[in-house]
Amino acid sequence: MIRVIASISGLVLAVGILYALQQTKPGYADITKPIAVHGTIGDRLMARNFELTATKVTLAQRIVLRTGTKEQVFETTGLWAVVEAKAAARHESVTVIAASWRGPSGSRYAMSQRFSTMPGLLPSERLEPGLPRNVLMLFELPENQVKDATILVSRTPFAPIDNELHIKANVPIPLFVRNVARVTRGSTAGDWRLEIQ
Amino acid sequence: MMATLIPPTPKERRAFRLNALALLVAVPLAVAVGSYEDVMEWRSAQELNAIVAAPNKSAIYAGAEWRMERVHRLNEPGSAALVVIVEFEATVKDPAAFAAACNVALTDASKRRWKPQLLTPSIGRRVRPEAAERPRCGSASLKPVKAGDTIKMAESFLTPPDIGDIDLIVSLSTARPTYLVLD
Repeated sequence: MIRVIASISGLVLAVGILYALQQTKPGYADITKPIAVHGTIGDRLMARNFELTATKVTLAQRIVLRTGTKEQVFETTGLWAVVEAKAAARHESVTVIAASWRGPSGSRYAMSQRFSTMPGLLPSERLEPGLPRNVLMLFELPENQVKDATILVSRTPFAPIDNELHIKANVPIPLFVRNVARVTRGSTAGDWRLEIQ
Repeated sequence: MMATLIPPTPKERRAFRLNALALLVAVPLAVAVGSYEDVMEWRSAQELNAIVAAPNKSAIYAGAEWRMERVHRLNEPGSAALVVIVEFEATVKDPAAFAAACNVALTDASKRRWKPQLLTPSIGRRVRPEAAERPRCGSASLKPVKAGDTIKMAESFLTPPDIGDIDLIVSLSTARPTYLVLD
């Protein structure tokens, strides 16, 4: 009799453990999701194969690309967020192509793809080890997605078990929106500077 | 529960032990057979064992005899980066092994790796126009080559100015996981 009770309670225990395991099992997407590295503006953040310091976030109504005396104007019905950063590879040359702006509602805005020839954009710069480089990330946003935002940066758009930088943007309220952010192309290839007006 | 009520015969016990032992062999064997191709594919993409060519010496690698010719270190005015141009050559012995996808990288004592630039930086084109016109390692094997040809190649890199002693790492898909280091 005792043996039968022991067997039944063992069975119940086993079923209980298996059920608990089944219920708490993480999904494949959870197991392989990017590994977050948290920080804020001004922090030097280390990902597995690159390092990046976001130095400044500026809001602007329009972005102007100046080449020689020619100006190309990019208007928006929302706002432009211009993120300046310093980035370098860590162990091996790398290109970091994915950055997005996560607003307070959780919506993610990928970098604007309207600038085909803009110099200095993060995805078009090959980063080298030991050679920090100034880069730009440009986001086109609705006004209500600007505050309490996080900038997410990773090497590729889907970065399974790779690092993703989570940079708190901390834009001051009320929003200070500048008139123009102007990128002027320099005399040598790939050279540029940013002016805010 | 039933098994505990009817005691097993010695024959059954022996069969059970034998099967349990066989599992120890069968499971690792199944894993090895199932993953063999993936492991081989992974291995052929790695750089595991080096063939090192000492300074001013050549080395046989991937059906050719490789030799470092010159290294130029150029400072672009107004830039923090150093432009490194490496000129090297290969005398082909086996065209089939030489005509393959080529990976090149520059490395120093810190073990950091710089990948080559797609285009020679402008200072390199001004100072070493001959090097800028040479094919890169990947494009050298696009043209048909025959045994006895000497292919002169060049690659350019952007590095920090304080880079130390540099090595050129070359690996061809036909020879990986073996790779070549030109000192």
